[in-house]
Amino acid sequence: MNDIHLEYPTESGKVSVLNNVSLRVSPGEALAITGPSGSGKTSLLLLLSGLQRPTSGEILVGDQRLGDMDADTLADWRSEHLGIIFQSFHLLPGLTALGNVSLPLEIAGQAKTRDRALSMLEAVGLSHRLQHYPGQLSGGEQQRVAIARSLIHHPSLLLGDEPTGNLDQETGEKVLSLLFDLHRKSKSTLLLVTHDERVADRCQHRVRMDGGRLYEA
Amino acid sequence: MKRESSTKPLWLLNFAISDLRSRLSALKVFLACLILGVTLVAATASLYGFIEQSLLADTRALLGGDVELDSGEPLPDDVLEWILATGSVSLVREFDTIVSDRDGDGFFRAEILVPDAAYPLYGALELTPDEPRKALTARNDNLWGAIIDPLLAERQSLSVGDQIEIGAATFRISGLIQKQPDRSLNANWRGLPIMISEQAVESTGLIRPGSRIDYEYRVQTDQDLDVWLEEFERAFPDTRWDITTFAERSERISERLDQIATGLILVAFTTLFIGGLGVANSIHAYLDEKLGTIATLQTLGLRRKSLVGIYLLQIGILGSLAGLIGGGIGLGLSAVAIGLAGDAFALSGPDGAGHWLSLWLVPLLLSWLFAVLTAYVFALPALARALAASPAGLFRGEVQAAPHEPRGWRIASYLLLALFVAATLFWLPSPHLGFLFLLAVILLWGLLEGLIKGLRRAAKTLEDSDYADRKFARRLALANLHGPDSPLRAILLSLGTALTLVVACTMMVTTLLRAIETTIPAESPALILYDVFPDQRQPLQAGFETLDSSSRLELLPLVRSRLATINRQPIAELLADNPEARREAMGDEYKLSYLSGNPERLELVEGAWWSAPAPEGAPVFMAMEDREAYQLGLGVGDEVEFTAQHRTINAEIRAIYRQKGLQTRFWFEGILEEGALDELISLYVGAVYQSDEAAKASQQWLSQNIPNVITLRTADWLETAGALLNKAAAGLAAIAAVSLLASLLVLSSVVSVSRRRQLYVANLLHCLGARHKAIQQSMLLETGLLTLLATAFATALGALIALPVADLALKLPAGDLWWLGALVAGAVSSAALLGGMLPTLRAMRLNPAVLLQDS
Repeated sequence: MNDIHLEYPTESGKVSVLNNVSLRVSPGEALAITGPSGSGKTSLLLLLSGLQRPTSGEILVGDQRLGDMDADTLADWRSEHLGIIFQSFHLLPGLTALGNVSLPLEIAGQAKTRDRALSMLEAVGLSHRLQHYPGQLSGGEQQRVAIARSLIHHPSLLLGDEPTGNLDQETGEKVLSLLFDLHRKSKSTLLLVTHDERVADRCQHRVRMDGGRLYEA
Repeated sequence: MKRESSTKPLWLLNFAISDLRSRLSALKVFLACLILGVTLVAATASLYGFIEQSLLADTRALLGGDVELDSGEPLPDDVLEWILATGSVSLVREFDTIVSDRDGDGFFRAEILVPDAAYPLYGALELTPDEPRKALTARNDNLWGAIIDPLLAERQSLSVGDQIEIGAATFRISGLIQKQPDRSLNANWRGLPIMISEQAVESTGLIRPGSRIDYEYRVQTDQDLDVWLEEFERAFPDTRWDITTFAERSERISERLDQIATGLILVAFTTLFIGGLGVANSIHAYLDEKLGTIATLQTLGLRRKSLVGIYLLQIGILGSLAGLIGGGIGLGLSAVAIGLAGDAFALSGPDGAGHWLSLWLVPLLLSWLFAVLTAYVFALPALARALAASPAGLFRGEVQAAPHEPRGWRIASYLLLALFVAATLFWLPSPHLGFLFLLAVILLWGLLEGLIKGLRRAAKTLEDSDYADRKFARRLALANLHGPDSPLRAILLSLGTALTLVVACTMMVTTLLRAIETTIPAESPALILYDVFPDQRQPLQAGFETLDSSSRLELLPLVRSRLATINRQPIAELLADNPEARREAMGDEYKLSYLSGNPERLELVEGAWWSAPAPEGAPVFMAMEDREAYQLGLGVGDEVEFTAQHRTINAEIRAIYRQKGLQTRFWFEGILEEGALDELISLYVGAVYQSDEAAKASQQWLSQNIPNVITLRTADWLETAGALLNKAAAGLAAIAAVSLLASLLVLSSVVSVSRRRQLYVANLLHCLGARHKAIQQSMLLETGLLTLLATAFATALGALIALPVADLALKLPAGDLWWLGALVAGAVSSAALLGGMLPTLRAMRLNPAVLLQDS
């Protein structure tokens, strides 16, 4: 990310969310982004996922410039290279665990989605919950399904937005261990937004956001 | 801290209002649905009330009263006293006489009308010059005034100021009768009328003992007519007065009006139910949004009673607001519809403060009451589940409503529902139809639940099959049909039921409009002829050929008879237990004729026309008019005996027919095989097909050349009947159109309630890398499937409901209209579902940040 600025129009004028943010993350690295509420952490994730365009500045993922892509190309890029883990899991309530995990593969039009989803769910320890709907799973189980969904298509970039924020400490620890274990195996780049120092400690690097600016921690 | 016994009511009210205001966007949907529902009901009820009262006024005016009693002598005092105790009465004495002009050169037959001061009870007598009847018939310069029919004046070359002799008195023509309210549907066989005063008739010396005078009493009563007739029959069981109601006077028009009323009621019920569906869906959505607030208030220590109070207050406030707004708009729409329909409604719309109250103020209050009641009825189950939600959900990220409402709430819901149903049935005009309607809805819902279960299974099977492999749009669409948060049930129950009812109503309304259109056919005879003697047929035919070569004359024998026996049993014995049927059978004249050249549009109801005459010595074959036959309990195979001119005719009923149109007023009660009446024919009736202008010339020619033939131009009559039916049809079409349009709006808002879910899914999929186009495809597939299913279901069930109703309640065929039902179902479901989906598609471009920001 080079010299990123992000502004939101509001009724009382423009609000600057990110100011002069530049960041470089190496492939396979795990980076924690910490900071107080409203500091711009989530906005950073939105920009990195291509769900929002910066007011100015440039974002490069590998050799791909996100600003050059149209909406469809960005969607295809996400489908191929990006995995996202949300704080509130955001599983589709109408799909089973198996259906949710295989969704990214199906969006990409790949074959044998069920088999791969099955092995992914086995990897997160949920082979006994394949046909359960999200409403029938505990919070920890739902987040494990969400992690399986985020990794099933072997993304090069994995974004996590407070992935343990809705979980108790013990479950959170288990989920984190699983996440970092899978991250290591997949060799993907991991960017985690978190308030939790223990989560941040697990990452190789950390940066801190404050008032829309990025600081080396 | 010491706690007070309960939270202050004023705080509860303030909180309820501020909580309502905080979710203005959710309230918009809620209010829109409730307002639309109430608007529909208010508009329908008001239009129904207006049309009903307007038609009632018209039909009363056409008969001149609620009921007419004809007698050859004055009614006994006790009968008059009985009638006066139940209403008011007006007497018109009528008799035929020969009138001569002042010079004594011309003599002509006329019908003398002697109305009393109370005449007319309904409608208005229009005279030229525009002066009161009393003034025009008064005695001036030693001459009584006489008001005459314009045709009579034209035929006899008489004008205002001329003198005529009636009996022993000389009259001066003082005016012309332009419009006589009870005359336009009054098919009589007399001459043209001359109206004179009660005092003047004494001076003619024509009313003496033994004179043949008809005493026509017209009664006005506020009682239910059926009850009045029943009580009158009970009070005076042995009388043989000819009692006529509007329905009997003009059976086909009355039948059509009844059918239209039935149609209106069914449309009203449908509208009411569709509005209710909208209300239920939106209240559910609103309370879903309030789960967090409810749980938070509980965690803050608000007592249950206060919590319940807040939300009951909110629903009451919303219901009141929607009721007043919806009622106001509905009544406004109704006023606009009445205004737009113009003359169709304005012919004799009722006036006065009482009518104003009943047409506008009462419906507005009822709309308000209905809205509040509806809001509570449909809100209670959802509110119960919302209030039973565990606040623990607050700590787990999402508060969910309880899966079932607590027992106490369920009982309260049922009781309120019962009250709602009772109030609805009481308010709407036909409780019987309303009850059947409710039964149909319950059946419909049962079938829909079955269909939904089947669909869910099918969708799950398909999702697991190769059909959805590598096709995420298909998989998602199928999953949305059977998954736990599937909108299938909510949408299909709402859409399926509403569409089914819309289809049923469309088919019935179209059937009715078609029947109304064909009631007065394009080709009708312009002139009806009565009293043509057999030897006048030839000169008549020749005369018409000379006068108007393009005219067509049909002459039919007319044999007046009385029914003597049914299956060889005298009718007095046979119908001893059924006074009404006995009165009809013994008092009525049965007009018999042949089939060939018959201008009536006869439609077989039972049996078949015969191809060969009956064997020698056996009863002759005949067909009987349906109402007459059914009133006497007669069917195909029964034998009847008629007496005419001291001879008897034995006949076997081979068919039952109904007269379809209104083009003539012969109303033959029986059609016999050719030749069966030959020896009894002393008179013919005729129908002449020509223009109205030519008919006027024909009347002149007939009055000069064959003066005994009574002629009646049909133009006025057809115009009167047509105006009445058109008025009713306009009302029906207006209500059906308003209902259909507003149903569409309610359905769209029902569909849009699921927009939050669709938007959420769309944004999530976009985050996961799905293209907008693919997401749209998935949504279109899901919507398309729902549209297809709802259309097919609604068409099939709508037709299943409409066909028996049309057949049994309206007695009209509707089987060929299934395609119209399918078309309407397809159009409405597509418009509702696509209309509901479009805003979602537009909103899909929104920033999916909501997912990351967890709001």
